[in-house]
Amino acid sequence: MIEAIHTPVRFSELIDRAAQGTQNEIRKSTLGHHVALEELWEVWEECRHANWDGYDALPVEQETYHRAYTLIESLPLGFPRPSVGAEPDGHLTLEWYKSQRRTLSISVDPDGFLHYAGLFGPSKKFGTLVFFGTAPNELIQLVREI
Amino acid sequence: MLDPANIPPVSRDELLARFVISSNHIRGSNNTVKPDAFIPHPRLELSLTRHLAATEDELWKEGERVATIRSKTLYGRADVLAEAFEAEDLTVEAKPILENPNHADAINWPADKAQQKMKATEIASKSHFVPSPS
Repeated sequence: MIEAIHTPVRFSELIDRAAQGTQNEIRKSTLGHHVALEELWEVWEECRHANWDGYDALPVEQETYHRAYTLIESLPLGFPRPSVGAEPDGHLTLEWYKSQRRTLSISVDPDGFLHYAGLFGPSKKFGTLVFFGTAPNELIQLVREI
Repeated sequence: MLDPANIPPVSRDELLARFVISSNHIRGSNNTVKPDAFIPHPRLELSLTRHLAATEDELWKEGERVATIRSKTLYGRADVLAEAFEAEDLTVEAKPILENPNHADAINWPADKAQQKMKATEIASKSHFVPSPS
């Protein structure tokens, strides 16, 4: 008790850590991020070497893997789970798919850019976003529009 | 397969095949092909095989050859009409090679990645996945 009174900073750190731990457990156990992160790992394992597709594909770099990992982790609680893939230019892809005309794919590159293209029924959208470490609001909105 | 001495130009109503040798290019949920399979690399061209004058057996043999020399598994092929590429302002050129007189390339891809993805997404949406029989 006396120790707690004289170390308020340590007490608040404990509270913060406990809250984060609970949040992470919720995220992993019920919201599909854990599954997506496992799939990310499997794709990276398969595509981290040069020529992984037999057509001179570039290897998916560790930096690309880390950015995709961070992006998935930063998705909001309850967000739809993406499917993970890779492109021959070494980018990792996250795809949200409902039908052939309702789909969105994001390419994560090693330089901090997210290139997206999506079909929203009769319309389509594409562009490039900068990734600052959390899922951009534009991305969140695009997935909700599918 | 086509006669190597007499290769006609690709017409817009021709069926083309893109062999799929990466498992993460297929959606397991409904056996459709992701746009990832249609991203051009390392050059701005996409390798295809024309169905014209080819039997199913010949097509699969070509797919197996492509997979085998790359030590990969042939999962299937994505069939799509040439007009799907033309609708994206791409050109499909007959580019016969010694091993495959039916070989063609889709060219005129933009350098911008997002634009490439958009074209690949449209083309993939019009494709039909045929699983490998083996």
